[in-house]
Amino acid sequence: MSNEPILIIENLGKHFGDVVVLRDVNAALLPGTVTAFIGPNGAGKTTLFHAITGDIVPDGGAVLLNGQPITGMAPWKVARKGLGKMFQDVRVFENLTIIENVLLALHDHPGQTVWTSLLQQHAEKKLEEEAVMWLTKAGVEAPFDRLASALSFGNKKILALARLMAGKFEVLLLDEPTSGMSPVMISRIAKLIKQLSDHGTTIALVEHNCTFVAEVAERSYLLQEGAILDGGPTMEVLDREENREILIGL
Amino acid sequence: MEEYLLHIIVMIGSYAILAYSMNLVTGFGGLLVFCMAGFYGIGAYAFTLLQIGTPGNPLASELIFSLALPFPAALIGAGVAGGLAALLIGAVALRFRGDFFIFTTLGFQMIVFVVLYNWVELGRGAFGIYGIPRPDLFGWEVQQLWEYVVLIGIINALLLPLLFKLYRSPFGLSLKALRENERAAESLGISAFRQHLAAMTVAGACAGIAGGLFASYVTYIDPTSFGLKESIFIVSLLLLGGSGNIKGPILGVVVMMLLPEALRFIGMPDAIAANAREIIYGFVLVILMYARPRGLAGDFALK
Repeated sequence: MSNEPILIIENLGKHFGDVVVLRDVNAALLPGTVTAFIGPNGAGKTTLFHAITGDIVPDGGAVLLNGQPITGMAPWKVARKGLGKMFQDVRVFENLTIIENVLLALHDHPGQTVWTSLLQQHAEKKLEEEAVMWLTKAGVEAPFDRLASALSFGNKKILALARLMAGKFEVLLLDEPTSGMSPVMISRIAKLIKQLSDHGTTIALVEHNCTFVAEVAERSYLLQEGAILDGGPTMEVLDREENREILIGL
Repeated sequence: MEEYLLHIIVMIGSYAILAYSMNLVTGFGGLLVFCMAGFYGIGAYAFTLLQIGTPGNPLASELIFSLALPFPAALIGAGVAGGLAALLIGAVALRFRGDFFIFTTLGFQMIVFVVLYNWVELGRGAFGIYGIPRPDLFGWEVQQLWEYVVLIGIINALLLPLLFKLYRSPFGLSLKALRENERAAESLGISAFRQHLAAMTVAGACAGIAGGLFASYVTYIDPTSFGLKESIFIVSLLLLGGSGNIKGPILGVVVMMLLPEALRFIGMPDAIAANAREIIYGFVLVILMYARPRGLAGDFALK
């Protein structure tokens, strides 16, 4: 695997009115690695993810995916370039069934227009089998023809992860994947993240749970007030006394 | 009595096309559209202009143009006109969401009405166009009411399975995802603008075809049949029956068509019957919306 970064963030900046939320953020994600973005509340971690995925347009700087600029691109275009995202508030499609949530990631949306939907016979059976495979792999409890709203919050997060797994994105941005999760669920998510990383998916996390970060992330960046304060191997970043003071007030 | 029942069946068939086409945009796509009557009217006028130019027709010379296309070609033309209008308005309105989207569609509805009312060369304005030819389908001249029932049945049998296929297709699923959470759907590579625009175009085309059928059935059209009141009526079909599935729209159409008819038989004095019917009719709608926000059989509550 190449050591060239798959995702490069260059001098990314963003302000809302007088409040500067991102200050010349520079970071890079190496292929097949897990990188955590840590920091106190309001540090700009989620805004950084939104700026990468096109949910907000940055004021300045650039985001490069596989060397190609994706800065300010519409979120659906960024997704089609191979960058998937799990939102902090999960956002599964509550009134769709569990399997439909995953099927959405399996469908080839650019190729599925009104005409193709009318004229082509879709290999839905095959796609359903694949969706079941991803759901089973992620550990979502059957039956899968239930509405997603029937799942617990933790299982909705697992479903959101299964959806991203099915989408076969090259890079995944996971915004607080463990928040509100039980220890059992957290270890399940850690296992899934490691599996994805082992299969070559590049993952970036926003996370407050430092134990979890230490377990899954090879590299970490520490943000405070919109700026990167430190970056490097996770244990080094977490062990530095000044960083611990920022993170947990020690 | 028999003719009266057949007329109700023809109207149910016409409104079924409108309700199912709007269901694609509203029930699946989650967008409340208040200009379906505009597409319906554009289809009706396009159909009329494409049909009425038969030699010797006195109206033909008064209109901006007129052709004498065969019934199926004129009906397809009505669909194309409705679809193009929807594509145009969709391209503008879909830049907005929520209330602004609704107001844009309302604005388009008003524009269509005003244009039809004032552009005399297009459709004789408030005088309307009379003498629209009865359908002639490959030598079958549709004259009797029961023949219209058969014709509307055939058009429904051709159109509705296509719409149902779209509902169940990956395209329909992507619309449902957009309805549920647009940002989450876009994060999976689904373009809200493209999918919604495609849905609106299909709905506009189907409404245009329904408009053509209506024109050929009543043989006279004027702008009052395609005003805001009609658009609200079409929205209420989905509000009442429910949307986002197959059973809701038809239930809404049947109840909305039969309820006012049923109210005719409660024996009110003629002087107050019409107004009383409107009040009772509105009252029933309010109660249903309060008790069942998803409509009688809907999968999705319009917000």
